[in-house]
Amino acid sequence: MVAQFMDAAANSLGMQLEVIYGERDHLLMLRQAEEVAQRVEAPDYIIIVNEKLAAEQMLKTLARSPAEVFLMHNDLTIEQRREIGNERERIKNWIGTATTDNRRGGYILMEYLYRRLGVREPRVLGITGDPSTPVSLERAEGVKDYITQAGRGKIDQLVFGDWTYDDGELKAAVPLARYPDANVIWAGNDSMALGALRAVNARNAPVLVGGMGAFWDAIESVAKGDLTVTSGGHYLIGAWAIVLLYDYHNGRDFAAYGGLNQKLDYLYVVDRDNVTRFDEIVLKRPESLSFARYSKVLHESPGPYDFSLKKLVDEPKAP
Amino acid sequence: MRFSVAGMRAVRLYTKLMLALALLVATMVGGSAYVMIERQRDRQLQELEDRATQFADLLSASLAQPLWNVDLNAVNRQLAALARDSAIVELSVVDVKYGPLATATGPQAASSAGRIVRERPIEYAAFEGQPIERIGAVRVVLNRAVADQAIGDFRRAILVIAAATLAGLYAVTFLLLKRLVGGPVNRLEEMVDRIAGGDLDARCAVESGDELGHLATRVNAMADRLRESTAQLSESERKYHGIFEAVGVAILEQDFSQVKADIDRLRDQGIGDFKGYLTEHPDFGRQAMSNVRVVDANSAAVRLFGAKNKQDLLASFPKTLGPEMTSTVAKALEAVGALGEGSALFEAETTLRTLNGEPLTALFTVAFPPRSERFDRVLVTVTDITERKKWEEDLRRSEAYLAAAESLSKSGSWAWKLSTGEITYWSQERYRVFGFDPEEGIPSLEAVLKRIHPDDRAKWLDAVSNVTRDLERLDFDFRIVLPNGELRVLHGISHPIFNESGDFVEIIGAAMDITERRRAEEALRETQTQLAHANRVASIGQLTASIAHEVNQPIGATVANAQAALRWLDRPTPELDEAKQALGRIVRDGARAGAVVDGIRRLIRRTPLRGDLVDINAAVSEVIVLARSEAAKNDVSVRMDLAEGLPLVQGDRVEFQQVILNLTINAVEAMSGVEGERELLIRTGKNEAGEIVVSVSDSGPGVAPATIEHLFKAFFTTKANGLGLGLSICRSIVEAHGGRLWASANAPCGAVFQFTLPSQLGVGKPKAATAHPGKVPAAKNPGSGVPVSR
Repeated sequence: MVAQFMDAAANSLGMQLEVIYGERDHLLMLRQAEEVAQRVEAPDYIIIVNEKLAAEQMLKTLARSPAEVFLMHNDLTIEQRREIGNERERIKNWIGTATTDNRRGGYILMEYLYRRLGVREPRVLGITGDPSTPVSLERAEGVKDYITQAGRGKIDQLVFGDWTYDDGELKAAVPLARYPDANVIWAGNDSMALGALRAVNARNAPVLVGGMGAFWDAIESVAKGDLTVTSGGHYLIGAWAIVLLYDYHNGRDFAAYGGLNQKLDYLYVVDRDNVTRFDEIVLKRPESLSFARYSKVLHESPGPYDFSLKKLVDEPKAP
Repeated sequence: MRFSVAGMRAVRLYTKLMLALALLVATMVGGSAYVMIERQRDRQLQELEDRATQFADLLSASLAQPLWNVDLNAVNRQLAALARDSAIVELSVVDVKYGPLATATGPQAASSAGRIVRERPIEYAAFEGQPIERIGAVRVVLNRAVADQAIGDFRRAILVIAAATLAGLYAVTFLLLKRLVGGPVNRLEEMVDRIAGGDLDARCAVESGDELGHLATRVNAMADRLRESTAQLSESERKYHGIFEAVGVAILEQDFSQVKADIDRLRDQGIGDFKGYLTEHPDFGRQAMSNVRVVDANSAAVRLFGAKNKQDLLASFPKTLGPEMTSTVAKALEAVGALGEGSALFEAETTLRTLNGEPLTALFTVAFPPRSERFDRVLVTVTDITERKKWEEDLRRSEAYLAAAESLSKSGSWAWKLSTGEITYWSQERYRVFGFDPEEGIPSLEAVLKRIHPDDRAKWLDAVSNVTRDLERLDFDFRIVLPNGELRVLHGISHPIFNESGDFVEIIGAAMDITERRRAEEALRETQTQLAHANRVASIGQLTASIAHEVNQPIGATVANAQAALRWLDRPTPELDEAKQALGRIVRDGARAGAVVDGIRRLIRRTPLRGDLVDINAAVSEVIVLARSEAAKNDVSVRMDLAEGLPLVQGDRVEFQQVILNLTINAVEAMSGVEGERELLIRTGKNEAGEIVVSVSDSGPGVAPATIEHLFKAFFTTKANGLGLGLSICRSIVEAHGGRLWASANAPCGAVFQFTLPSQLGVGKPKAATAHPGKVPAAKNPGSGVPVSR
C-alpha cells in the first residue's frame, strides 16, 4: 500500500520511482543496498526504511553511492545514531528522515473515544503492540497523554500484544473479565482492535473499541458499525517522502521546513461518519489523490509541512 | 535350590566353595540391592513431589507478570519449557476471573492413579503501592509413573550391576580357585591316585607354603611311610612265606567262608545256642566240615600227613579227618558262632589220620579273624603232639615224684626270675611248709616276711638280697612262725641258674623243714654235753691222786711256811722280815691251791656252752697245771712250746680245755709203759691257712696206722679200762667249733694228736666279727645249729 501511494505521489509530481522489496529480510535488504550502490547509473535518491534495524548498515553501504539517501517510516534508534551520527554529518549523502507521529495517533484516537463516551466515566483498557517496538510505546504514550490531559477517566490496564487478531481478542477478553466496568478498549493496530471487538461482542459488553491503521478490514468494520473508530493512514508516509524529495530536488530543502528529521502529523480518525468518504477518496482511488498540493515548491507556504488528510477527505474534491 | 546331601558330597571342593560364595554374595548383593531400591524409590517419589512443588512455586512466581499482561505467548513458552519435563502430565494456568487460560501437556499421559498435583496461586501487584492481588492459579500435574519407571530403571541397573558383579566375582574367584585350589588339588589327586595305584615313587610337587603345600608334604611323607611299610610288608611276607615253609609246624590255609556264611545265616535267624543246634543237627557239622577247603599247605604239613606233595594233600585232605573230628569241628563252629569284633584263637587236641591211615594225635589251632572279615584264608596249624603227649606224661610223673620227694623231705622249692624280678614258682610243699593256701597264688614278699621269725627277718632279707644282688649261693637256716604259733626251723639253699651263654637267668632254691632234725640234733647235743661232762668228771677222777698231790703240796708248803713264820715270830726278837716272806709264800701257795681247785670246779661244773673269745695259750697253761703232777708221777717231762701272738679263737673255753686235758692224759697214759725218755710236748701255732693248731706229742708206742681212724669212733679203745668215748667226744667238740682233730705218727716214736681251730682276727681282745652275725663261723657249723647271738 505504501508503494501504491508512493507511486501515485511520484506520478502526480512527475518523478520516476523504482520499488525494490526487501521482504522484511534484512540480509536481502543489505544485498539490495550493495547492488544499488554499485549501479553505474545511480538514481538521484534512494529511500530506505529501518526495517529490522538494517538501515545503519544500508546507510554505510550507500555512503559510497553518488545518490542521496532518505530514511523513512522507522527512525534510527538512539544507539544507531550514536554510532553513525545524524543526517548530513558523517554520512554526507543521508540527507533526511521522515517518520509518522504515532504519539499523535494515539492521542487523537483517545480524544475521539472520549468524545463518543460522552458523560460516562472512561475506564480504559489498552492493547498495544510489542513493547520492544518504539511505535507501540509511542501510541500508548499518546493515549496516556490524552487521558492525562483530559483529567478524567482511568487506565485499568495496558497490555502488550503481538499485533494479531487472536491476540487482540485474548488481550481484551482477559482484562474484560478482570475489569467488568471497563468501557473503552483501544488497540495498537486494526487487527488487535478487531480481535478485541470480538471479545467485547462475546461478552456483550457496552465497550467502545478503537483501532489504529485504517486499513481495509477496519474501515469495513467501522462502516458496518462494529468497530467504533480507527485512526490511521500510515501508508501515506512514502508519498510524503516523495513530496519532501520533490521539493528538495527543486531547491526547497525540507531542512528549512521542519528539519532534517521530520515527525509527520497526518493520521486521520475514521469513524462511522467519515468512513465512506475516506474509503472512496483515499483507499479506492489513490492515483487520483492530489499530492502536488502538499509541495512547497508548487504551493508556497511558510512553516513545517502540513500533511493533514482533512484537506483531502473533509473538503470537497477540487475539480 | 535343592541339593541332596549325597549329591553335595560328590561335588568338587571348589565348586562347593563357589556355590557358597555365590550364595553369600548373591544374598549380600540382593539384600543391598533391595535396600538401595527401596531407598531409591523413596528418594524418587520425594524428588518427584519436590519437583512438583518446585514447578508450581516457580510457575507461580514467573507467570505473575505474563498473566497480568495476558502474555499468553510467554505463559505458553514457560509452560512448554517446563512441560518438556518427563514427569509432566499437564501444566495449566487459570485466570482467576477469566478462567482456564493456558494448558501444556507433557510427555506423560494422564492417568488417574499415581498423580501428583500442585496448585499455586499467581499473585501480582499491578502498580507499586497497590495490594498484591490474586490474579490466577497454576496447576502442575505430575505422573508418578516416571518415578516408578525411574525406580524400575534403577532396579534394572542395580540388578545388572549386581549380576555383573556376581558374574565377575564368580568368574574371578572361579579362575582363582581353579588355579590356586582346583589345579593343585587335581595334581594332588593325580599323585595320590598314582600312589594309591602302587606307584610309590610318585611324589607331589610342593607348589606353595599354604595348606595345599602342607598337604602335599604330608602326602609325600605318607608315601614315604607307605613305601617303607610296603617294603616292610614285602619283607614280612617274604619272612612269612619263609617261616610258612621252613617252620616245623604244619600250617594250612583253609577257606572257612562258606561255613561262616552258614553260621551267619543261622545267627540272622536268631539261633544263638549253636551248641544246642549242632547237637540237634549233626549233619550241619558234617556239612560244614566238607565245605572247608584247604587253600594252601606248607611242606611240614605235607610231611606230617604223609602226602606225596602239596597238591596231593590239598586234594586228599578230607581223608585226614576221622570220625573223632566231628566233636572238634562242632567246637570250632561254636567258636565261629561266638566270634565278636576281635579275632579268636581256637585250639583243640584231636586225632587225625595221615594219608596212610595212621592215627595222629594233633594240636589243632585255628586263628579266626574278626567276624567282619572274610574267612577265605584262615590259618590252621596242626602240631603232632604224639611225642609231646609222652613227654607230658613223663613230666607229670616227674612232678609227682618231685612232689612226693619234697613231701617226704619236707622241702619246698621256688624259682625267681631275674628279668621280671618276680617269683615264678612255689612248689606245693613250699606252700605247705610256709602255711599258705596254694589257691591264693604265690604270696607276696611282705606276706612271706611276716612268717619269718622276727629275730631272723634281717638275716633273711640280707640273704635274699645277697642271692639276688650278688648271685651268691645261699645256704642258711632261719625260723618261721606259722599263724597258729608253731615254730619251724628251715634250712634254705639256693643257687643261680645260667643259660648256655652264661647269662644269669633265674635263681632256684628250696627250704627244708629241719625242725625235727634240729630237735634231734639238740637232743644229741645235750647227750654229748652230758657225755662230755661225764668224760670230764671221769678225767678229773683219773687225776684225783695227782690233783690231791697238787693241792697237798701247797697245803703242805703252807703248813711248813706257817710253822716257820710262827717260829720267826716266836723269837725274842721276832724276825718280821722272815715271817713276812713266809706269809707271802703262804699266800702264793694258797692261791695256787685255789687255782687248782677252781680249775677242777670249772671242768666239773656243767655250764651252758659259751661262744667267748678264748686265748688258747692261757687255756693250755691252765690245763697243764692240772696234769703236771700226773705227768710227774709217771716220769713224763712236760714241755710247752706256745707261739707268741696267736689270735683268739671263738668257742667254749671249758670244752677246749677238756680236749687238751683228754689228749694230755692219753699221752701220759700211753707213755706209762715205755722205757726210756718220756716226753710230752704241747705246742701251739698257726698253719698256712691261718688256723690255730694245737698239737700234743708223746714219745710213747704210737698208734698202728690201721687203727688211727678207728681211734675217734665211739666205744673204740685201746685201753684195758677205757670206755672208748674220750677221743670221739674230743672230735665232736673240735668239729663243733669248725676245726679238725686227727692223729698221726710222731718221729722218731710216739704219736701226735693235733687239732685246728678257726682263728679270729686280732689278738687277745674281742673282735668286731661279732657285729656280723651272718658271717659268724657258727652259721657254718652244721652240727651246732647255734645262732651266733647266743
